[in-house]
Amino acid sequence: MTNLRVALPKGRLFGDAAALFTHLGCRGLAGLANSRRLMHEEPGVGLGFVLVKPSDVPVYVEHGAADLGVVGQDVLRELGRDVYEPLRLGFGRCRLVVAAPEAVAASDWARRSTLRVATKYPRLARQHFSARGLSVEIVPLAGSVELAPLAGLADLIVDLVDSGRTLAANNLREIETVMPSEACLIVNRASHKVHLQRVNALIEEIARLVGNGRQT
Amino acid sequence: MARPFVGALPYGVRDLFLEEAAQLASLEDAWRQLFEAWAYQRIIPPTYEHYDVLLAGSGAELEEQVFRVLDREGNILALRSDLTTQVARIVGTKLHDLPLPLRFYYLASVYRYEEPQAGRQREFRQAGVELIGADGAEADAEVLVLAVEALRRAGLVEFQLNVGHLGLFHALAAEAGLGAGHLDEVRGALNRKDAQGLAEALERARVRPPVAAALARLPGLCGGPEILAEAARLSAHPVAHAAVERLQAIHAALERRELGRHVIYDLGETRGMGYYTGIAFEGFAPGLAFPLCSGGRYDELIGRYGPPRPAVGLALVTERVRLALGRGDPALGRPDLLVAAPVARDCWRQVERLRGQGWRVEADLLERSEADLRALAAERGIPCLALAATGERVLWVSAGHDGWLAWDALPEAPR
Repeated sequence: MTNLRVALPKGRLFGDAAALFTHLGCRGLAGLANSRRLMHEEPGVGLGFVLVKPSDVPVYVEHGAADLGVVGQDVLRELGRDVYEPLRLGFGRCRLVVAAPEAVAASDWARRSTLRVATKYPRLARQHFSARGLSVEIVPLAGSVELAPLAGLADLIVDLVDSGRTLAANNLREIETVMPSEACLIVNRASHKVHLQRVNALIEEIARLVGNGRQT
Repeated sequence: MARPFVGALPYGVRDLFLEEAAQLASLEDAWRQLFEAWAYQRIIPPTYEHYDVLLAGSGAELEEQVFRVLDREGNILALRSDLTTQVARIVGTKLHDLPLPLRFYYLASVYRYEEPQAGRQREFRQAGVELIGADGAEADAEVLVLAVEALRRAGLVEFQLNVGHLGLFHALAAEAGLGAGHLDEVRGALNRKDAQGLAEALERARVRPPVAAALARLPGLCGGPEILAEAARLSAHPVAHAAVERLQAIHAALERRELGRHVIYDLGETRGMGYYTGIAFEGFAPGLAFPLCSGGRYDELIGRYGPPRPAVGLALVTERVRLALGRGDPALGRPDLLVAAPVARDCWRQVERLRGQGWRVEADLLERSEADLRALAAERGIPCLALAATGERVLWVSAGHDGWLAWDALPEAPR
């Protein structure tokens, strides 16, 4: 039987995701973070892994290059890929928020006819503001979003907040939450059907590990 | 603007030739024979129609994906994005007084403005059937059997049909009193199998605990026929009851044909075309991330064009089936016999006779030498060669033979 392949995200979520599968008996994952290898097989457990950029995890899974994946809900919603997401994993908790410079009052920006919003989440930001009837100009950025208001590139930002320290350090204030987020397990639709028993058993096992009383 | 390179193609279409084209044609040929053996008749709707007329059937769902064209009078036309809608229009407006049931099949290209995925460009081939005027479980089963048979005849061994039914969800949603906003939210969570998201949505919609508990079970109702028994206990609503009973009857019909192992049931999904009213199904194969085929019952679609008729149908995405099969047989579409130019010219009667027997015979029109002909046959993998001939005999080359043979002593036609 071929290994089920799991796409793991490099970066912020990798440690917790690797720890999860290490608990399932994948002993070789721990060393993977410091190596240059991007693929890893655990034939004893029937799993294989690929290490990819977080935003590539849903792409691998939707196209079936991986059967399962671990990804933040923020990234998943932003990409809008058609995959199953049967389980939240309880780590990587954070919030996607709207933040503004501390010097600007909230009533101030709500009255402006157009606002420039810098973000790494253009799709979610557009949805959020259009649902509130605000017309905004989205400035898509690849990083250091909190710099944009200081540099005069944008009025507001939509970005991920964990502790809030980065916002404070850049004189930004959280205005509202767009969505809460945590890591979740995603599954390719065809893999779920074709390997129903194996995939369900794996989901059960992970659910037990993360202390989630999911029933099937 | 610079003119495109003369070989450029727009995004979303592609050229198919040689082995790929031969494999596609042989799939369609196998399916044509299958459908005709079940007494389905070919239907050939036009490639484009009035946009409004197509949209009246398919609904808003496909609207974004439709290729629109303006004709010179300014009418908005649409390239067909869905054959079922076209067949519904034809049956509703032109064929409504024929004896039922009606059975139609099609082999056609479909156009959808969407990101190309594995095995589906913006133009892609579909093969499908529509069974009109029969609303029982046996009709649903017939279409599912055709789905299984079509995948088998294609040469697939491992595949799975995933059969759902919208009735149970509709009944529970009605019992829960879900309004439009909450309905979309619950539906979205169900289609993602997001159990926690579903629980949260049910809480926000303040659904009564027993109904909420039943809805919360739906993502887990995916598996063999055993899940149908549990589904039957979830709701006493007549629509739910009818849905589960229908799936049980379908399963019995499939078991009778020993096809049960190819089918799993999933009551937790509400995917598929907006016009589906009963069963909805998709087919999957290992190693291919997207469904090979899909279908369902649409009892209200034909009524949008004429007298209402119950109907159920199936569409196979030909190219995805081809991908699931892996690389095609290189012998597909290859000639069986290469004949030298003088043989084709002077012994045309004998050559025609071979063609009539089923030989694929290619005539060399370029007056190649014997050595060149041997080299060409070897390069292209053509198994037999006729280098020279008289009225009675032929200089025949094939595996294990190289010499003169009587025309009457040739081997049997390979097909």
